Amino acid sequence: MERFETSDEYRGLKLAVHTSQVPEIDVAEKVMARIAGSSRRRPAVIRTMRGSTALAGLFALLLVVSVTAYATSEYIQFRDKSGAVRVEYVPPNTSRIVDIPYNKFTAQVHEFAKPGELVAYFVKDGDEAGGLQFEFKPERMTSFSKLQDELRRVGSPVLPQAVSGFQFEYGEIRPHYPDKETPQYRDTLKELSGLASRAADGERLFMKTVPWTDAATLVAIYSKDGASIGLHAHFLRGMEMYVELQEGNTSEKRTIAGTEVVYNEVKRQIAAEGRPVQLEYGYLNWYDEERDIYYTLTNHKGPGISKEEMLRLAEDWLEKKG
Amino acid sequence: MSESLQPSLNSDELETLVSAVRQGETEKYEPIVRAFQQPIFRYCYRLFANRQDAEDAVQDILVKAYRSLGQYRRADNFQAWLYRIAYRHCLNVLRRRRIHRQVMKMLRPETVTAGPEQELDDRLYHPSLARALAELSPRERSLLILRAFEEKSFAELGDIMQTSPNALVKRMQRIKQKVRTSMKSKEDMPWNDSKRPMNTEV
Repeated sequence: MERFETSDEYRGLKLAVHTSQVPEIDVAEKVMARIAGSSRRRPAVIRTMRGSTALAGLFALLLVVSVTAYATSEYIQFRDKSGAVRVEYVPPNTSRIVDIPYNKFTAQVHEFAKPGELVAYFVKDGDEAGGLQFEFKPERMTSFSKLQDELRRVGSPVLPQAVSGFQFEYGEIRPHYPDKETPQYRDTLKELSGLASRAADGERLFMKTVPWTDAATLVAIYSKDGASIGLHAHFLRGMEMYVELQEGNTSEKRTIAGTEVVYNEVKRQIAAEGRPVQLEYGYLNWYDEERDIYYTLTNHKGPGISKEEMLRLAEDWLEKKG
Repeated sequence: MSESLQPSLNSDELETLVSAVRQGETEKYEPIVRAFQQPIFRYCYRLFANRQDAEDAVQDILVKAYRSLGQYRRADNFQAWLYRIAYRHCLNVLRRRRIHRQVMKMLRPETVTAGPEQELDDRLYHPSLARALAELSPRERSLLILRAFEEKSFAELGDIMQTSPNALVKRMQRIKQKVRTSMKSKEDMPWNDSKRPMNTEV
């Protein structure tokens, strides 16, 4: 019965959708090929990866071993030793719906939290259907030793204080929010929902600071002569990563110091103070399979850094990695 | 809709196929793919408002489902089980996109220039509805799409989203209110003018 009720209940909503434009697709062959192909390809990929690992030392001092140019419509992939795709470049999405966090309690939580604190909160009769939500108040660390201590605390590789003359300026680490299956999540939920059930009418927000030890992302900024570079590390934790290639950008895969990196070149016109400005810069990505971390190294601000300099920076970085 | 692309399977046929696939007859998975690719695609397409993303997601979901067949139990509803995989996959995709945008904004703020309105897909949704959907969280948007367009019952939705149907009923009421409020504030056309072709009553 309920199914038929929805037709009328959402009639107006359906009128606002051009239903005739939902196209028909047929992906059966592609799905079956992936199912069949993944098991066939896997051994070959393992051999290749082992080979490249063994040769990594020989390539350590070579800046560029191989260059492969990719059109933006093609995929660049980083695979792990089992052959599974861990990071994948995907076509640009120019027509998607964008997520806008909508939560009127967020501001209250931010006011409650101190920099570097992770806050778990529970909203009575909230949208998360009885679940916890989390907010983190970022902390910008300008002390290199403090950042290193934090990196060790969360089990992250430590960073160099300088790379190719660029000196550490500041860093930020953001936490991985507790998964629903963890005791920490369950205990906190029990505590906060218990408070909510005993609270007076009208009281809806219940929160507490929770300790965290797992990092989700790390950003570190380095500068030299007015130019700065940013390194971003994304701790994937077994998650697959998709990177959207923006229209007009070009990407190419290279091997530097034994690591496959992707150099991305951005050329785009943007509006700055009402004037069109041509934006041009490059950034690099690579995947650290051993630690399951996806890195981005970019020209953060200031004078532009040439492609060759970016590649040298990456090489220096990869040789210094902890 | 082409019969060859979307054949229907009754529950016995489906279970027989699933059982055969689990015993190693991989090719028996193809009729399952053909039966479910279009409904899963519709869901993804409405959620992402982008054909390429939706097509990629359908493939990923069906490959994931194949790899997870060992966890499927006959007592489960196969369709709900498959939608559960789709729901989780789509939330992950949306989360990754958000993270990537946040990361790029942190690293190079001036490159993140497109506002929500600039990225909405007017081809699929009326602009005012697209904006209203953009203000929903991925979970809320997913629930609205599954309920309103895929016409799932709250019991089925509970199974897919692993949440009690009563909680989903309440959540759905709040979503409807949010969409109404958003569209009232952003749209010049009167909310209740049902004669307008793009009236978006929910």
